[in-house]
Amino acid sequence: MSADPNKLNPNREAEPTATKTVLPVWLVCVLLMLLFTAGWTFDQDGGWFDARVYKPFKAPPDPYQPPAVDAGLYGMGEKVYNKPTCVACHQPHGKGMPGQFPSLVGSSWITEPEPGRVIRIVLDGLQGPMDVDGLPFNGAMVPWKDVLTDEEIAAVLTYVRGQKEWGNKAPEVTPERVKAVREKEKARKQSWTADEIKKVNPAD
Amino acid sequence: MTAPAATSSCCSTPAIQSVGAIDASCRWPVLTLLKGAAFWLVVSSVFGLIASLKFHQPTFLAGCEWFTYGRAYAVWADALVYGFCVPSALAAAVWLIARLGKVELHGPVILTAAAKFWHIGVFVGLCGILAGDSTGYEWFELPRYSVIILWAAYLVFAVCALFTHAARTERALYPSHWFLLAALFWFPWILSTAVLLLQLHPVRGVAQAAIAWWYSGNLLVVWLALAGLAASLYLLPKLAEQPLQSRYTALFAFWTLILFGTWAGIPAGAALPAWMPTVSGNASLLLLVPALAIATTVRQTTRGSTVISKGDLLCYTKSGACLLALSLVLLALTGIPKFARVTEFTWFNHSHTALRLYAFAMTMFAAAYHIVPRVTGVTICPRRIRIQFWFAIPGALLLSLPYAVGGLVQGVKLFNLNLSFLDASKASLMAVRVATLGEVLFLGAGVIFLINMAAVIFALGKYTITAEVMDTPKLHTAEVRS
Ligand code: HEC
Repeated sequence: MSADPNKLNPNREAEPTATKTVLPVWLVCVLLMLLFTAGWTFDQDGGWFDARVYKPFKAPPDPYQPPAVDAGLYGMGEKVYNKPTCVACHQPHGKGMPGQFPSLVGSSWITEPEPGRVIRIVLDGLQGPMDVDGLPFNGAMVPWKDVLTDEEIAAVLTYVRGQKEWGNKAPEVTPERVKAVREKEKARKQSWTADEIKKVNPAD
Repeated sequence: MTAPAATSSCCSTPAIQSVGAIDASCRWPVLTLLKGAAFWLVVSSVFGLIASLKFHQPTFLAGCEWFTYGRAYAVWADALVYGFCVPSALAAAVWLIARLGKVELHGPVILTAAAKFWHIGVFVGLCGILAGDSTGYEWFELPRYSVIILWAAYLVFAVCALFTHAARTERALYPSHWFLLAALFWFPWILSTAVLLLQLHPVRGVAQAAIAWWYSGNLLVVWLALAGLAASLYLLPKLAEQPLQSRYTALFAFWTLILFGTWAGIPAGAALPAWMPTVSGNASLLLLVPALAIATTVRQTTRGSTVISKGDLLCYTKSGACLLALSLVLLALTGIPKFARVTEFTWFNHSHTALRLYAFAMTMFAAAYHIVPRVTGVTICPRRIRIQFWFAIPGALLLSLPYAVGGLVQGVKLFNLNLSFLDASKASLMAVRVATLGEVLFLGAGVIFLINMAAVIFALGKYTITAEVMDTPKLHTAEVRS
C-alpha cells in the first residue's frame, strides 16, 4: 500500500535536498509594495518613535439626536424617554431584557386604550411577580413621581404608547389626566404590585 | 535499520554513523516528549471544550471554581502551548538535528530526564492555574514556580541539541537547520525576558502589557512558525519524493518571518505611545510576505508529485503548512488600521491564533508519525492515522474559522450605536456553537494520537530491544490494534 507511511522505502530514507531555483520576483514586488504602505502608515500615525505621541481619542458620534422641531407631546416624550429615564431599563429598542425588564413593544399594559393603570405604574413604580404577555417577571421598577412633572409623564407615555416603529397605536395621554391621578393617589407610599394594579379601573 | 541510500552524499567523511544507530539514540527522548505531548493535547482539548461550552451553556460546571471560564481557558491555552507544542517541537528538533547532521544524539539519558522534568513542570503549572495561581498574562499564565522547571528542562535540550549539531558529520546545512536553530534560541530568549520582566522584577504599569504582548506575539507567531516550518520543510520534500523548491524561497520566508514577526502582537488600540501599535500593525501586515512564500514553497514542492495521499502524512504536512499561511494572512489583515478598529475587541484575533496553533498540531502529527516508527521500529496502523486526519482537519477548521466570521459580524455590530452591547456579543453566538463542535472533533483526533503513542510504547514493552534487533533492516510488524 503506497499510503503506508512507515514502510522504509530506501528512496524515502535519503534525506531531502533543496533546489537552488531563484526566488519568484513577484514575492519581492509584494514585499516592496507592502514596505511602502507600511512606511506611509508609520509616517501618518507613528509619531516617529516619540514616546509622548499618543493616538488621538476619537469619540463616536452621540447616538441620541434630539428631534429638530418640537413635535408636541410625542417629540417631548422621545426626549424624556432617552434622557435617560425608561431607556436605561427598557432599552433603546423598547424590548427590555429577557427575564429582567419587560418589553414595552406591543405590551398589553402599555397599549390599553385607557391609561389609568400605566400612569399609576409610572408615578409610583411597580414591583413583585408579574406576567407580561405570557413572560414572567419579578423585578422592581422605580417610581417617577418625584422626578418627572405631570407634563413629562404625559409626554413619555404618549411617546411610548404611540411609538410607530414599535407598532404601538394607543391614544395620547394628557397632562391633566396625569395630574388628576396624582391627586387621587397622593396618599400612596409604596410601589404597586401587579395584583393591586389589576384591581384599578383603567378609566379611573 | 541501516538505510542503504543514506550514505551516498558524503562518503569521504569518516565515522559516519548508521541511520539505525542515529534513530535509536533518539528513541527515549523522543518517545518521552511525545507521549506527554499527546496526553497534554487531550487535556487541553477537554478544557477547550469546557471553555467554549461556557458561552452558550453558562451554567455548565458553574458551581466549581476550578472549572470557571478564566481557569479553563488558561489551561486550554497553556496545556496546548507548553504541554503539546513545545515538547513535540523539541522531539522533532532533536531527531532532525541528529538525522540531518548524520550524528548520534548527545546525552539521550539526560534528555529523557529533562523531558520528564518538562512534563512535571507543565503538570505543576496547570495545577497551579486551576488552583487560582495564574499570572493573569494571556499565554503566560503558568505560575513562577513551574516556569523555572520548564526553563531549566529546556536549557538541557538546547545545550544537548547544540552539542549534537556541533559534532555533525554532514557539514552542509539544509533549510530546516536555520529554522531549527533559530527556534531553539528564540524560545529561551523570550521566556527569560518574560520571566525576568513580568515575574521576577515586574516592570511598572502599562509596560507590563507591552512585554506580555511582545512575548505572546513572539511565541505564537515567530517561534511557532519557526518550529513548525523546520519540520514542514523536511517532511514536504521527503514525503512528496521531490526536492524542496527552493532553498532561496525558504531563506526569504525565514528572514521575513523573524524580521517582521518579532514586532507583531501589540493591538491597534493599545494605550501605548503611538509608534508601538503602529509599528506592530505594520509588521503584522508585512507577515503577508512570509505567508505567501510558505504557500509558494508548498505548492511548488508538491506539484507533480506522484505520491498518492489521502489523509496520510503528506496531507498532514501540507495542510499544516497551508493553514499556517492562512492564519498569517488573517493576522496580516489586522495590520490594516481600519480593519483592526472593527475586529479589535472581537473573536477575530482568537480565530487566527487558534488556527495557527492547530495548524502546528497538524505538522507535529506528521512529524510524530514519521519519526516514531523510525526510532522505535514499531509500525503504527495507517488506518488510524488516516481516521485521525479526518477528525483533525475539520476540527481545526471549525474551531477557528467561524470565530473570524463571528468576530467580523460582532465588530460591525459593535459600531452600530443603535444596538446594545449584548446584541453585538450575541452575534458571535453561532460561531461559538460551531467552534464547540470543532473542539469535539479535535478532541477525537487528540485521543487517537494518544492511543497511537500508547500502542507504540506497549509494543516496545513486549519486545526486549537488543542491539541486533535494532540493526536488522526489517521492522517488527508489531501492529497493535486498540
Ligand atoms: C429601574 C429600571 C426601570 C426603569 C428606569 C423603568 N422601568 Fe418600567 N419596568 C421595570 C421593571 C423591572 C418592570 C417589571 C416590574 C415587575 O416585575 O413587577 C417594569 C414594568 C413596566 C411596565 C409594565 C410592563 C410592560 O412591559 O408593559 C410599564 C408599562 C413600564 N415599566 C413603563 C415604564 C416607563 C414608561 C418608564 C419611564 C418613565 C419605565 N418603565 C422606566 C423597570 C424599569
